[in-house]
Amino acid sequence: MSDNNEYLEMFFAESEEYIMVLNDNILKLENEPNNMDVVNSMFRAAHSLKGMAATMRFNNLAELTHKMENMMDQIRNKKMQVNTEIIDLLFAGIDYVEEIVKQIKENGNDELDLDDYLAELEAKINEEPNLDDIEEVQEEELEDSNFLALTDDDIRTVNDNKKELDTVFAVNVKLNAETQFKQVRASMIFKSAAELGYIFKSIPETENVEDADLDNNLVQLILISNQSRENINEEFSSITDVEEVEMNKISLKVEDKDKKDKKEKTNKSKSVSSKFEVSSSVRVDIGKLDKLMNMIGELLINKTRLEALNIDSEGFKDVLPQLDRVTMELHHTVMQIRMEPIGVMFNRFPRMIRDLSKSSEKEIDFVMDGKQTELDRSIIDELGDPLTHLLRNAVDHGIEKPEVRRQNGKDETGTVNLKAYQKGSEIMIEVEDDGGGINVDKVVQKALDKNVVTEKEIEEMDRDKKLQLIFEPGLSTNEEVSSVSGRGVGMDVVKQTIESLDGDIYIRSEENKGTKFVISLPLTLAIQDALMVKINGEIFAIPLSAISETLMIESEEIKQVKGYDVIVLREKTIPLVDSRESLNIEIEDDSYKEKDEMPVVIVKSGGKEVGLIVGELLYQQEIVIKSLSDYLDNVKNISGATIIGDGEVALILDVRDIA
Amino acid sequence: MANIQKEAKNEKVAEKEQYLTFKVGNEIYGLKLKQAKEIIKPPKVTNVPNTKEYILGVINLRGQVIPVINLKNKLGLKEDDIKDTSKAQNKKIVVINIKDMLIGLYVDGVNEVMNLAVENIEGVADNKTGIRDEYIKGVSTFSDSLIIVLDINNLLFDQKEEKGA
Repeated sequence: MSDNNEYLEMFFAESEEYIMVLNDNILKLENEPNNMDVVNSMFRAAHSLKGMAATMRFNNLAELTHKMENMMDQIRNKKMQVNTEIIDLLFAGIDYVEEIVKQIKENGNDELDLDDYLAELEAKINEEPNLDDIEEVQEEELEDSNFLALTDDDIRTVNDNKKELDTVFAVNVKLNAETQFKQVRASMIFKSAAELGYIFKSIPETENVEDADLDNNLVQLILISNQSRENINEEFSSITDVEEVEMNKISLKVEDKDKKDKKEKTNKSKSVSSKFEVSSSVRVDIGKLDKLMNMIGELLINKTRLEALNIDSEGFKDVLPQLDRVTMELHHTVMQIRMEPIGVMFNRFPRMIRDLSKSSEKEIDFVMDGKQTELDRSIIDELGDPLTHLLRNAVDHGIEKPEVRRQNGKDETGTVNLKAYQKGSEIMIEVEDDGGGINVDKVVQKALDKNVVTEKEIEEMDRDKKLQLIFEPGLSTNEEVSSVSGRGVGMDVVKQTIESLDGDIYIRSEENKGTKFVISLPLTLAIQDALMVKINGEIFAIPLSAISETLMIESEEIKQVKGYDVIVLREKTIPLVDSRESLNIEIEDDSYKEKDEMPVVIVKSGGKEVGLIVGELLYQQEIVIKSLSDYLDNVKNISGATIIGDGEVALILDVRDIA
Repeated sequence: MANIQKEAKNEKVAEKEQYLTFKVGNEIYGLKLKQAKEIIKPPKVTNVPNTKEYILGVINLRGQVIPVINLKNKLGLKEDDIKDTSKAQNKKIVVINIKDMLIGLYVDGVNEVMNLAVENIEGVADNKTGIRDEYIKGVSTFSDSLIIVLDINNLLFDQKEEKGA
């Protein structure tokens, strides 16, 4: 049973991957109906899925994937022309696959009524092929799986080496099954080939032809030659025992960027001839990585404690920097292991946007940037829901219907942009649409209705601040609940999720121009650089990522604006907050003003800056972030805890709460 | 360790359960031994601002940050109502494992593990302790002393949070 469970785990993980590949490729196929690479990759995924399902005795799933595979095979063999109907059918199939996998996860069975769908699929497969516009793509640059394939790296090498008049051919030379000295014939083939041009790659390899077993009677070559197709064909055909020569011109275009990125990721180890993407990687349970990270955290804490001992000995002073280096490297490596390109999560969105734009009858151009941006795996997992919500909103509430856009002098096709990039020690994610934007007055009205703010508070807010009200619970500007966005999750949940990841989100919006959400996240959750400060005798940590600078100010520098204390720093007015006040330590009003000089930490949050007056600036340190026990959830102004040199607990200030 | 187990009298073997007893103020309290994970000497407790008053703070338990509850405060015993007879070195933190969380209870002293028969634990019909009924599972007498058996679950996960406790 436990064995079986282990297989099940693997089955779930892999099927998820295949579903993603399939979704991705179907989407691509819709845009490039003649790209056989896409079909092949799809076919392989479906095939693997089928194999797995059959092994696990999920016969229903096996049947479904088998039928889908058949359909892809038809497409691959040019017996079926890709059109919207087929794309929809394939998408529906993937949805069923997903459904079944989900059901297996929940109930352990794969029973689902698929009869209608299978019948529909079957009917389509048996339909007379409509070959009108298929023929023309047939000849040129066809890449069949029967031929040796080239990786992108190969293509680059070939491109670098071939001369102007050279052509690259994939050649399959089939020997008569009765041939007696296959190896001899094969070496003759190689000899001719060497005369005709340059053998870039072959099965069997040139060097090994003497020992090769040629059970399949096939010699496959990638030949770079300036000879004509006919000449080459003739040359090979003239060799004794050659039964058939198949030739194809090979496309030397390096595939589109997206795909290239992906391939480079998975194809670090070059495989010689396989069409399958092989990578030398090990699948590791994320729990184990978490444990590893925890242990490194422990190591780091103990290292800090060791440093604090300050023993007066040569050996001690020698070993400390070593230990320091090893710990840092270890930490760095584990962090790297935990990093994943955010693309693994982004990949689900194109499909979603496609479906949404179809059902809401809007024209949408969905652009994704920075899929290779890497982020801690645990953060990526948590981001799915908030991003889904923001994107749904962008389509549903943001982008207007084509006729409205035309009236407003905009392009009928709206654009939704999803972008990720690194900025210092933070990862930024932006969701932007060029839709109708948000009416600030409506937001304010709603906030007033819901008693989220008072009239007086509104008076003091600038437009930008009013906009941020949208993250308050119960505020969604669109009155009617739509099937798309009105699912009970609001912006407040989005904000909460982001903040639970120690991130931040804010909105910019202009009416009739569009809306942009900017999310900033720490690179990793577990370990951060922090500034340690003393407040009322206790040590607190402030994440360095939230600090823009520290300075000493004199009490004369404090000015009053609308009754609040501020300082003016490089012509910018920055409000001051007493850290003791936000920590609820009882203080006499304005007591800090009695001091002549005080340290101030300028912290930033959501594009705002606040000066935090602290008792004393201590030192900078790498801290391991620990949760502040579930029992004390959501403590105001405190985001977590860490353990400092002497084994004591120090709290981490939540700058977002304070600013 | 030798004297750690004492038999409560009149018990039936099948219905005995082990309780850890400890002192808060000058009363003796008990909780089911299997709820307790360990007893530690109090390290430095870091005060956590903006939390309820009965949260004494957090401590580092082998790398894990766990909250510590001031039982005296949580039980509603006024500091000056009770004479604190226990010496500082007797003070302990009883770490309990509840709902997959580790929580420390700050107590004035740990007594012993006792086998108390379930039937010996009486209801709280006559609750003179001044502690809220729902925090008490029952009382038991042992060698003439009264042991108040706490309902830890109710005590720590109080839905109707008392005001100003």
